[in-house]
Amino acid sequence: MTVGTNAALVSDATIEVRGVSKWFGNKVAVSDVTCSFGPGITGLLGPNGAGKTTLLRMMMGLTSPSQGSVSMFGEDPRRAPTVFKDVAFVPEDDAVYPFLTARQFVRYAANLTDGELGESAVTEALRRVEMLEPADRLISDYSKGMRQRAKVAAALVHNPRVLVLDEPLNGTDPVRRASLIDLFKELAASGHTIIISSHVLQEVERLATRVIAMVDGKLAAAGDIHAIRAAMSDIPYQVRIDTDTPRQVAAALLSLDTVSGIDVLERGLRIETTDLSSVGNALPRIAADLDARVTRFEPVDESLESVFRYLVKASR
Amino acid sequence: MIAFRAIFVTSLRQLFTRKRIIGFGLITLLPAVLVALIPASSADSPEELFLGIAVETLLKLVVPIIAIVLASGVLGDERTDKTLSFLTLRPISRFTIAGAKITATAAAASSFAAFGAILLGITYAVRGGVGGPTVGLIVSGVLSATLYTSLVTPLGYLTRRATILALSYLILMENVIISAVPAMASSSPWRVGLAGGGALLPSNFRRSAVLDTIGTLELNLPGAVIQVVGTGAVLTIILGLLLSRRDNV
Repeated sequence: MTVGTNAALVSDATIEVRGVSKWFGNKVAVSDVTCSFGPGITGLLGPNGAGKTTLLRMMMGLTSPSQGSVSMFGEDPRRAPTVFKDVAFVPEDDAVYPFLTARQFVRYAANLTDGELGESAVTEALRRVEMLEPADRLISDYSKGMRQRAKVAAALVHNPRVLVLDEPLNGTDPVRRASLIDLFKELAASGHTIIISSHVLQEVERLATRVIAMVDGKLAAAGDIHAIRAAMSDIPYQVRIDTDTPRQVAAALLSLDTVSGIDVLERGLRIETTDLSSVGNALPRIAADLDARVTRFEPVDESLESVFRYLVKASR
Repeated sequence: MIAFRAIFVTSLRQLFTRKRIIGFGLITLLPAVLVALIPASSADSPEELFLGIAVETLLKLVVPIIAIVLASGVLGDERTDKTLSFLTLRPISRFTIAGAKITATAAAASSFAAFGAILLGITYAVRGGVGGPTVGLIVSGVLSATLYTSLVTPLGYLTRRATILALSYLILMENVIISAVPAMASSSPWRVGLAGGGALLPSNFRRSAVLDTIGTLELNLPGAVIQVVGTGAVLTIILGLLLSRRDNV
């Protein structure tokens, strides 16, 4: 895994982001990000507020960068709308027309993108997201997951080479989620560039082999998802353990190689470990040996945000 | 052309909500109800009474309010509802989007204006009025509605306060300042509309003192049409440029 260097760039890029920053007043939303995207699925990963949506909006030309530049097929999307013949965007927002049916919505997208597209393209797009059956009901009657799928159908109707999706699996049930993931993988396998932003690591792991991770508007990590996962294994997690015999349990835990620090508290311990599972496995045995009562075993700060903060710190 | 038509048709559906049809439909009844209720003896002539009510209610109140409300929402609502990116991330010219939006709003506002004018004409005829003022009123209403929508649609894209700003212009500028300074009449959409449609009124109406409200404008249909179409074209270009250059936040 590399951080903020060549792993953020691909040789066969369809979208290039060069030194892009965006600030709103005093608030920096994106800071000096350079990366590129090519065929296959790239996950844009980061906690909420990391700047993913702002970066996607700049890539699509919806927001102008305060600094730096973005190109899509070599063109600035703000100056050359023709690039959208080959690009589609699925925003996180409920950007749908509630007074239309899904079929009308997808047909509207088709008419705005390629006047030659017929009803068969509309039906095919709806079929791919499993929306044929409710296609003639008003969108206002749909669940969040159905609205998401209608948006994906509208994005797919002209078979774009680049598909950019902002949190596309939000609100979808597990079955539909799995079929959407299969659909994105199928598109990627046929040479499409798919960019999927998400704040859920497990979701991105299922989807993407390549990841661009952001935190606090900066590029935190880039590269292969497995390498990032491996890097995370070195991150010290803080764990809170509540027990009636904290000193004895602390002494026993110190014998574990993976425990790097212990604070004894009034009714428990706060330990630092690089391997949560080994501590979790050892603790019942220690408790049994010491006849201690353990009432809590909980990572204190395991959020994605803290993980990425660590990666950013590690890269400096 | 397919994209223009698609935006135009979808915008009409967006504008003609059930609530608006009922609400605006009721508002457009108001001038006809007044013509039906106010006794003919309350003015110098039936023509004077009819035209007075038509101008004071339909042209100065009903048409501007409907046009302003529709125009401030046609792009403003797309921004609020986050659907604007659905239009702008397409391989189509921003001028196509601007033109389709302004045309659809003008068509929607004009249909309400025409409906109000037709109701007025029918009421006048039922009360035994002489001459056919309906066509002149329809044209006045359509020209006014088109001019208001052309002006307010870009404003609705720029600010959420478009309705308030446009209504303030209507009340303060058009009905107070321009009334006092007749030379500024060409910057008043309802006066431009009345100048155009007034040219089609029967001769017994064209003598009415009510037509003095058009200030230094003359009863001239081609002149009014040129002003309305020209303004619409310029504002379509301005809106297209705004859509190209401004962030879709």
